[in-house]
Amino acid sequence: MNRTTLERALSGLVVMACFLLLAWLNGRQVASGAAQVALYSLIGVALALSLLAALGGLVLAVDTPLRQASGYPGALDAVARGFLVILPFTVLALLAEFIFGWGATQAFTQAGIMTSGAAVGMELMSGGEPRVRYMVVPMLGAFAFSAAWIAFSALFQKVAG
Amino acid sequence: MRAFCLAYTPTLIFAAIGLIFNLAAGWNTAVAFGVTGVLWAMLPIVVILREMSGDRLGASLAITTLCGSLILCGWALLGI
Repeated sequence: MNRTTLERALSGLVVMACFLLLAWLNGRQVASGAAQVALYSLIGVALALSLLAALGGLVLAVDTPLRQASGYPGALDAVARGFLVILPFTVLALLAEFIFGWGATQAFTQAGIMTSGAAVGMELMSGGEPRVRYMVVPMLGAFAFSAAWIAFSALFQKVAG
Repeated sequence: MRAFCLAYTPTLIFAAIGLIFNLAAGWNTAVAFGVTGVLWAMLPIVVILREMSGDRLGASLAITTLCGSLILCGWALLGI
């Protein structure tokens, strides 16, 4: 995974933009009024970035060769590269919301997070000697991420609504 | 072509389960099961396209987005 600084920064920016868009789309369904939607979006992005950082820590803990070769920045890069898979989900969520009016952004978000977790696992598997834990741990992390997002949405709706 | 079709196995499984719930319980399952199935086919498609394009992630994501959009448009045209 020889990637330039520009590529790494671009991956991080794309992932952050995707979560901002998804948080905004979710906020339009969960919150009422522009201020609440903005607040939901900001907290949602902060939550997503925190959970991605935690996922990077998990990756670092299980992948010894990666830890020795590139440390936490390398783990974060693997997470960001895996989570690039959320890009098609974000585009489809926008399409579903504004063209088809399905109001199913949560489904797109949850599927996107879980799929991205699997993609992070595949990034780790492709980096060196494949091990089952490289796949299982990011998937479990993504499951916890997904559950935290649902809990946040439910809590926000309860408090704000 | 075979790999691409097999990537849609999750869609088939979700659609079959959705059909059962639709017929047995009268639920509207087109979005909840059908679209979820389409979404679960995205990762295999990304992986296949990455293999085919020589590990070009950007190109594979772009083509996956296009394929997913076409499927969703077809789904919508079928009358969800």
